[in-house]
Amino acid sequence: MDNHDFSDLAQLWQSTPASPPPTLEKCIQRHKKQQLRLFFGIALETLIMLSVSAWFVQALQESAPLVTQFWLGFGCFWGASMYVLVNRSRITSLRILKNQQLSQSLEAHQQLLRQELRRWDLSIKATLLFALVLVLLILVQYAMSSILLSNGLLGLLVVAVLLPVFKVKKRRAQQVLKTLSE
Amino acid sequence: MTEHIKEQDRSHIVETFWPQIRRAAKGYEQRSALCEELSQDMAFALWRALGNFDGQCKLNTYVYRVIHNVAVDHIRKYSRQKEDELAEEQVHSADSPEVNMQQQQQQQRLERAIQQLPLSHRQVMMLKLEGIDTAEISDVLGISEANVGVRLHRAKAQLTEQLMEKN
Repeated sequence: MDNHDFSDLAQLWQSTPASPPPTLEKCIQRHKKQQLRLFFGIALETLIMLSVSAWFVQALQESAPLVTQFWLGFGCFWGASMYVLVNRSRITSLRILKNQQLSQSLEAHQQLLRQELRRWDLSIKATLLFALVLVLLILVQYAMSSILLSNGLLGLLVVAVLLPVFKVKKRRAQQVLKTLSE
Repeated sequence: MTEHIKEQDRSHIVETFWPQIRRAAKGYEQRSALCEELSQDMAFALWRALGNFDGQCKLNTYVYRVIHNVAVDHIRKYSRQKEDELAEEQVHSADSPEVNMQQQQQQQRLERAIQQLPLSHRQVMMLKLEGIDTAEISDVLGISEANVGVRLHRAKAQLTEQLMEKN
């Protein structure tokens, strides 16, 4: 491609048909709505976290079945870890300055994606570990009383659904990281 | 131009750079609805960022930094849909009917070819197509001028290949 060809291409690129200018009031409204949605999202996540923690403490105090305690304990631990990590990422994301040089912001975004990948990795490993312990619990209970724990089986079903979801999320984050690293 | 730019002036600057914003959004986003959203996000981010403009770089450089930063943010948040979904949406995107059909087709071909470039090449190419010189591109991206030259050379080769394929 010589300079003349490139200049033609630049002319073609810049001759895009005009479109109506942006409505900044609408953008401001949209931004406010996004902020509100983010605030409600964080509030809801906090509420869920606190409810599960309270439920877990209650289950411990009332000596609930071991499977229930285990289930809630896992939920609490996993939820708390994700809550902290996700919110740390959100804060970092909000701190990325829009006016910095692109190479710096690209590095920051790649870092966020690496953190996301670590989160999905952690989720997959924790879920596998949880499934393993759950299977052991079910087997021990079955060997001792010949009764299959319905709660335990339900837990395994949830795990079976969660694992592929985490894997798909991880794969997508990898794809985005690849796009940003090209 | 050190202190704050007045709100009215900020709106005026956003309107002045609106065509560049629209083109940048098209270079980053194929899906028409999301492209519209990205343009609005870029305009709003620019309007906000202009409040912090301290004159340490040229206004042009500052504007391009902001709009391309918003695009990178957009990629991280929205580029998780499958490619075939994107391709289908591209076919249905409609532009102004008054524009000459042939030119419109050429523009769409160029947009698609640019969208196919790897991100680092795409950014250099879009800035160059806007008529920005190498020194300023290097300031927008935060890479050396030599690096800009290398990327541009590769981007041109890839773009030529893409355009020939599409012909």
